[in-house]
Amino acid sequence: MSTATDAPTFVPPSPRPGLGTVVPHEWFRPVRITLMWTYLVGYLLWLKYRGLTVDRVSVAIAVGIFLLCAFVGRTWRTWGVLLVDCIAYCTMWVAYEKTRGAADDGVSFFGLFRVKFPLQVETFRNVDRFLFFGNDPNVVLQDHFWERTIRWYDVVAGSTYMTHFVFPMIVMAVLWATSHRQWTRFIKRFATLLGVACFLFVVMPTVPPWMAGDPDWGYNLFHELHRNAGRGFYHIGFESFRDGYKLALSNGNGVAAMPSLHASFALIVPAFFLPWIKPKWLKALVLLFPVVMLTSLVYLAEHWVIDGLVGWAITGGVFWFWNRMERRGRRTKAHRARMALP
Amino acid sequence: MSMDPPKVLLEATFLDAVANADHPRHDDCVAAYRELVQQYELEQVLLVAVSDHLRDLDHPQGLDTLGKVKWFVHRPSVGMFAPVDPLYVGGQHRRAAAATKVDDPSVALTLVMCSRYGVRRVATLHEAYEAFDLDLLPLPVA
Repeated sequence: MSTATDAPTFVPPSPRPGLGTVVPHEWFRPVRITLMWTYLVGYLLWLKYRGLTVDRVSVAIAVGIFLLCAFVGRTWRTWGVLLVDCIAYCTMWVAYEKTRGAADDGVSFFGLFRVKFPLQVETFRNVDRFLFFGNDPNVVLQDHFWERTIRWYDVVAGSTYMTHFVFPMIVMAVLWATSHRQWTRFIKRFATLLGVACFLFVVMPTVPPWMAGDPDWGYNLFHELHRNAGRGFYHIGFESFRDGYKLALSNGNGVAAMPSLHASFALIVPAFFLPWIKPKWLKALVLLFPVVMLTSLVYLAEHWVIDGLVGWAITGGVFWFWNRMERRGRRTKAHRARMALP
Repeated sequence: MSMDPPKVLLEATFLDAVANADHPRHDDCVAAYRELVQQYELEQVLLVAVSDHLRDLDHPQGLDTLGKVKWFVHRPSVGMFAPVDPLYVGGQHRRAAAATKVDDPSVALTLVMCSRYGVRRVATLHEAYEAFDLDLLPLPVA
């Protein structure tokens, strides 16, 4: 007969103390978190009362303020790396704006001579007509759906269109704050995409659908199309915020249409996060976003379908290239280590 | 939740055992390190080390101030520790390490760096780490 003293007793192993018990608390961490939440509230209030910041300089300032909040209390070296990153980031955007702006005037070689590439007026329209059995998708969509009153799909199209100006930058800022390694991976793909796009803007200036139908421009490929991309977005009470100093930087170019960066940016973000998304239905859902973007661009007469398809193809190519390069980099370092080991 | 693969910190004693052919656990540690390098190549882990420890191994003869600055700005990825990224030690980390009640300053600094950089897995030969809630890499015994 067993007694209470014979009964096996389970003595849980004493838990090992966590690092928090021995390492002093990092007081700046809660400060950073509080500042970032405050920033988020401020951003949303600005969005409600002043509008969505869309010009490059205002967006850069917004990102800069966020980074200040996210890096408070970090080491001097981290701040130094951030400074170098910011310089590279700003250089990328300035180079992009200047190249894009110069695209329709051709490229000057040391002021000696200028090479101007022919304007593509009908080429991509014809590709679209080939893809859609002789129909112009922009014309068909506007003829069927555009109404004087604003419908729900105008809101979807307008809002999707406007995400282009902030979505990738928000992703970059969050990656900057959370993982410098992932930020570097993202920015390499993003900068390469911008570079390839700029090259094509220069060598292939393209008349967009709204211009092709606008009698003022005289191309008259079809009847005039409505061009008011933001009306659905404004209809739900939002505005877009632009500051005057954007004029100092922005060199807008109406014929920088091939490839569509709206379509490319809408793909690069979901494509980047795809490996971390496990459920297949969620993968399909996030990949719906670039499809909605391209449909919106065509409906709003901003781009030909082929502009978006080429933008997607370049995005895919950029991912393929950098995935390969990063794999190669890891292999090289691993090889060096093995060669040096006994 | 991190978007990066889990970091494995190669602690000073482990690094020393890998680099030093006369170390009694050299073969065990080299075998474990080879396995880690394989995992690194497949992007299953990231290999990190405290910058002070890694610099001493990169330059056992020591560095002058300019050399230290250059190394601090950009560490060349060469040699047997090419895949290892340094966790750069800042003044705040040294102050935090000095404020701990751990006797060994190297262990204290490593614990601070593990805490600040979210490292859970450590490859070490030092028994001091067994006292803490860390995943210590099991080393094969030759």
